Amino acid sequence: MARRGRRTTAPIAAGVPTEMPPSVVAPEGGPEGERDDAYLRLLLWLLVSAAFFEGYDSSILALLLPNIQASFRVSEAVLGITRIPIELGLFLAFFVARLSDRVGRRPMLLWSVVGYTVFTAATALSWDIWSFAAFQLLSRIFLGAEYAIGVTMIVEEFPAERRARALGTLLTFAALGTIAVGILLFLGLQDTALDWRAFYLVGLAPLLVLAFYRRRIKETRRFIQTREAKRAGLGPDAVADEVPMLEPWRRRYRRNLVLVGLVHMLRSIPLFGSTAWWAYYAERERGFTSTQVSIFIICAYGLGCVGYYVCGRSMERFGRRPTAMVYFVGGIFFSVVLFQSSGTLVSFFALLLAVFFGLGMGPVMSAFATELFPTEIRGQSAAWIRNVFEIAGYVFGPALVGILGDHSTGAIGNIGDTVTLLMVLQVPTIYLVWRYMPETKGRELDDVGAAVGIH
Amino acid sequence: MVSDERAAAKEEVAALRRPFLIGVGLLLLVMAVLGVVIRQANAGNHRPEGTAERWLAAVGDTTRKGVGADARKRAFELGDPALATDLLPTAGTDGKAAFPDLEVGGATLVDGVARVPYRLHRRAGAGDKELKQGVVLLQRSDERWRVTGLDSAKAEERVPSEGGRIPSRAPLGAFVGAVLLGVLITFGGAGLIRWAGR
Repeated sequence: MARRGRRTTAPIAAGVPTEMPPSVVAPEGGPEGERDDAYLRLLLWLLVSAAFFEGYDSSILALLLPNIQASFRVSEAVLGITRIPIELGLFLAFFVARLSDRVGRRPMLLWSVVGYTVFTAATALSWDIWSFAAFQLLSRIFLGAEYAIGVTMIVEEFPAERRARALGTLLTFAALGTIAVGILLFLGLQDTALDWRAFYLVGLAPLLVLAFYRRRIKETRRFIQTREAKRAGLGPDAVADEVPMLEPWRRRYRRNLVLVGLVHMLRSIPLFGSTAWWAYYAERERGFTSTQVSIFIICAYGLGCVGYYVCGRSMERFGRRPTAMVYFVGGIFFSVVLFQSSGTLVSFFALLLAVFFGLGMGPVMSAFATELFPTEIRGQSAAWIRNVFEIAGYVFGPALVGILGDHSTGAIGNIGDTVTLLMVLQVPTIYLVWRYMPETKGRELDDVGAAVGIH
Repeated sequence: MVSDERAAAKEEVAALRRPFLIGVGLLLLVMAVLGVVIRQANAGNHRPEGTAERWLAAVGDTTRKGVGADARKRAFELGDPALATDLLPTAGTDGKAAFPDLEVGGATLVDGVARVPYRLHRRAGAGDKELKQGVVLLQRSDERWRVTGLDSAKAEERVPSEGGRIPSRAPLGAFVGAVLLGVLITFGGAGLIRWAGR
């Protein structure tokens, strides 16, 4: 009973679980958690919009930087600095997502969709770079919360044998969001009178879907059970207390938290620096046309997404550590090639393989973030890793590239070399994974704790 | 038993608050120091290539619906937009930017004048684009560069996509420094993990 209570209310990090191997994060399914197939299908299709728009929203900023820069007449450095408050939205999303443990998944999901769409539409009306940054910050708070609550609902509503596919579908839709921006770019949406603003108006779509289906979304059964148990006045053995924020920093978990957090942070700074600036780099430093950039994005991201699948298979077959090390080496190597080569063909394959290795290692990174912590603090430690350590990369990666690579005033003066230099930050992760990361391949969750000395 | 464990855990978590706040303070201090270092590293850099690129982008935007007036003002801050009259499309652009893409190369300095090669496409009506290449001329004015004219490009004045120099390269020392930083992070990270495990 006590375990069920803890699982039910454990906070989930904004965005993390879509990358998690479902078998290690999902609560055990039970008859009381099952819904009929039609409802689960509907729920999944409603929730994939959150994942889709997370990929979509992030990619607009990355792929339309030159247009946004021109509209607001700002330097690369200012563009980089404005990414800091914008990306902090994903950090703040964690606190909004945590409210769903108190007020319920359904109301918070609905309000998150409303908040996201309102501020995304407001972004299209921005009058300067700072109003743009403010609207994007607010939009990302709700987007991150929507994404996290959506995943929580899947974890709580889907039976164990179907969670893997459901969460895999979510992850795929995040990548499809990026490809959708590429397609719209290819079709020339940026050439309409609304320019880049038209892309943000597309973000109103989830509100229309929600308006139609909102009455059919139900509160999760696990949340209802927990709430009723609390109302019935059952003691802490029936319903566990909320896990304190600092719990994962206790001595028994601290080593793994620092290790996994460091690896995530060192990966994310160059990764998000490179993904945020590649389109700008290709157009301004390599002479690609916007059509070429969109074709590259559609093809390279489409094919590169196979990396997620291969990563999942190889971490089960060869283990987490070797898979992570191979993916790190591949990600670093092909990113450096991508930002140093001028040939179109080389750039295409380098982008494809940089996506394959660099982004495709999501499943193994999520395995590290979840498997090394016991169930009762898994949500909280995942929150620290994603919303603090990894978000540092979202915030500082693009900012560092913009400031140091500014064509006029930057210390380095070009985007390609700046990203290449930042890639050196990923090299220590290979050593840290090899030297310190416990291997969890083939171990049941209950055994992992004993193996890594935290039970 | 469970309650005892929970009480001990709560006590341990409560004891973590002060070190946690100190850690956050130290982290903010490190970030501030890094900010100052980066600001110092950026100070005094004014590259003619960046000015030429922004001026061309602003000139290209003068034909865009809604932002034309602002773009002219933006271009004027870097150089007279009238200098680019020959670059702008003769046909209408349908409210779009005059140059759908542009690229600049590394500058060469001749008698205090910077020559920055450029390559761009300008709209030529009915969805067509016309290639335009040349050199932007700039002169220093109060520590900054200002566009003073356009010229045709010499054979060796090419943009990076045609084999020319890129506007700026990271010095070799930066790559050496990055490798040293990587080593430092590796040992620092390893030390931190060992410390956290005590």
